[in-house]
Amino acid sequence: MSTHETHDDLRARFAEVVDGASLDLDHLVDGSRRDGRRIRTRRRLTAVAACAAVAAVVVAAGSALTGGGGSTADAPYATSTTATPDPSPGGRTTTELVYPVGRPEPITGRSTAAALLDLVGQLQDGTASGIGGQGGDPAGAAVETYAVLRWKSATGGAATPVMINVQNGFDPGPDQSADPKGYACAEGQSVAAGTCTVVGGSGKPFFSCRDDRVECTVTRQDGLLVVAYEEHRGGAVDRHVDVFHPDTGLRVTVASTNASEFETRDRVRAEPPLTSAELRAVATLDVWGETLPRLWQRRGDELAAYHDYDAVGR
Amino acid sequence: MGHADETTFESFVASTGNQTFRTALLLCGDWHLAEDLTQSTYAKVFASWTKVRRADNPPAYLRTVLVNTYLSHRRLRRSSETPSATLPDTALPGTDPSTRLALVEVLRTLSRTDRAVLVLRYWEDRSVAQTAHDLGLSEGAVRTRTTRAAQRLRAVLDADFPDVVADRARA
Repeated sequence: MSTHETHDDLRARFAEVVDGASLDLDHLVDGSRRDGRRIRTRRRLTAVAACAAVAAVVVAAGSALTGGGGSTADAPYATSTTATPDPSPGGRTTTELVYPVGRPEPITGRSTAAALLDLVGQLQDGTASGIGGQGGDPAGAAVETYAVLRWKSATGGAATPVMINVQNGFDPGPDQSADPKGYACAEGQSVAAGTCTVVGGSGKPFFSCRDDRVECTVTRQDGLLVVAYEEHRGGAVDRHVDVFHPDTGLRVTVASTNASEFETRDRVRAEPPLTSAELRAVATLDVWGETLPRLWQRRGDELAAYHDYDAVGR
Repeated sequence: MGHADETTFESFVASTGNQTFRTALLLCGDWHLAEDLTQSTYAKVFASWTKVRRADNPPAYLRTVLVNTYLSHRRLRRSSETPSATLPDTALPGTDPSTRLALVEVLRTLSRTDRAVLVLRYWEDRSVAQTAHDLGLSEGAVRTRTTRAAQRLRAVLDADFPDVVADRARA
């Protein structure tokens, strides 16, 4: 066989191998942007670290000369991350989130924690510590996972918990999603100002504006039932967004607090680190379910200081 | 990065994405690794988009990133993971599974550099000089590797899959 024939033959064989192979290019764009921004961040951090190292040498040298002591940085005990910088000046205000493409893997507590870490990092600059979670059942039909981390915003304030609960096959009971009592608030309207529209009237416990919930709204968004509310205990605020998928029974709850722990009065910062809009962006992301992308599974497996609440309970 | 730049990146992905993925598929021999390789490649391109969009030949830049990422990717995986060099179970439309799997199996027996040489020369239609540039090899090395790898590929295919070869010869 001549060189030319070999070329044509092998090219034809290669073409057969990959014939029809294609990707979801929209997801590819989203994932590439997200990872590309992280690469840029790492580059900048590397540059900053190099400058800081030079500065540290200078400071150390000066300290040695003057006999001064150093200080210990207040570093998180678990893994930390730096969020994607907002390309627009003035800080990050976007709630647009992206998630990895790739093979879906059964959801676990670790992958849920990795996902939460990733998504919160996209929303805000900051560091995470105290990462943990539980759940995931390889044989289970209705897998439920939980993940929590303590988020310290780069803008300041103490680190406080952010959590997510993914419940597949959640049974809300009769009429939970049919006619919830609550308020539909358009942009610029608020419950406090009395400008929202009261909707529904059955007042069911999970997906409604119960009396113990403040700043509560119930909205329907792309077929989802979305309840956003706060629970106040003095100055402590737990902020929640609770999303229910009536078609699949999937429930996703995301919450943030300004207290040292949820459901306590130990307020340690002015506001919860995540806004209601940010919680909503995470909770309504169409990635949640019985699986998560493989990349998050890998990152979850790599979390060095993950606290397994299931293991503690056994 | 402004919105206009992002739109341009989108159109770049739209015009090159599937071809890049197919090249990645031939390099990796595994659908999911190829997905990861493709996304890693475009992430690097996005991170340097200002430079890439001003390059004389952005697709060539993309290809270089792809190959370099593939070579480094494989090095990393060898030290930490066992790659699953398999194509998806789902048969691609219009593809003879035996031919497809046979070729993938043979490709797996080659070194990663030889595999990259073959894919660039025969799939991407890169010249010897261009392939040498892409892989940082001399042109002589590319010729040697091409000949050796192609002979090995043909020998294995002809010996182990005579029906496939005969079918192709009759076609």
